[in-house]
Amino acid sequence: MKDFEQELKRALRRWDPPDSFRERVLARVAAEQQQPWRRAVSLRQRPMLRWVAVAAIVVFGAGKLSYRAHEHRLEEASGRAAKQQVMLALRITGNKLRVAQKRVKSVEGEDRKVGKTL
Amino acid sequence: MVLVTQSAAVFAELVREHQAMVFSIALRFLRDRTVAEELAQDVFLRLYRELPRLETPDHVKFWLRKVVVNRAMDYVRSVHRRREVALQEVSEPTFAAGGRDPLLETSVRKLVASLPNEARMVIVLRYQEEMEPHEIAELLGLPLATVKSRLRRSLVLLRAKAQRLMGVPTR
Repeated sequence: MKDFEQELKRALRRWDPPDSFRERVLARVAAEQQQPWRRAVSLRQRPMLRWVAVAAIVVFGAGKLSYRAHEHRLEEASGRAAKQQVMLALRITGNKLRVAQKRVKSVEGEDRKVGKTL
Repeated sequence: MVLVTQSAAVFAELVREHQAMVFSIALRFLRDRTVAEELAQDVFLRLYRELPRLETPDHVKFWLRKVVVNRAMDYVRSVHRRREVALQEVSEPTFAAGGRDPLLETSVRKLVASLPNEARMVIVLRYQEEMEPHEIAELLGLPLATVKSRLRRSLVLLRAKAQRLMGVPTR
């Protein structure tokens, strides 16, 4: 072996593809031209599309979570408002009851005075 | 200047011109004829889509080499347990040996096949495609020094193995 690099060149000559290789390539091109939707290659074949899909899922997930948190806040605010209304109603009712109780007591006091004088 | 137009005739001619290059890089690297042919077909299909953006024949050749190298490397990385196909199962080139030593050539091919992926690709591009180190560096996106060092180390390794295997001093 006189020159190892020459030997490498000789050993690593190109191989010819199978005879029908070119026809098969041209057939695939023709098929793709007839059905352009087939060009929508899988995500596995396009790493960039895969990352776009992952980003879309993350954005969608974050949006959904944010919307749920917003809905939760709205529900809490509405619950607080209802509670305040109930408390107000109870206070008003309590005040009215106290007024009525005072009146009943004053009427009873008057009745007792009338009874004594009779 | 658009030298390449997307016509079927031009594309068919490009396939004829470059099919051996694309197929050989794929086969040398993947060592599986079926997978190599499938990969080479995919590369030409992508070329057809990419043709309007490729302006010169040199650009087409560079693009084809880059895509087949990247696809082959990706394929090998994605396969967890690589199928080992003995090189003697792969059919040899159709031309006659012409006074060469077929046994020696087979042994050299086996030695190249035993190299790690990155080193093997550099050797294939240097000695099969007869590319210069700076062209390999540009194609693989590696520093020139890295390519030169991989070539040097691979050659030392191959020479040592050849010497052990064949008992013939190499230089």
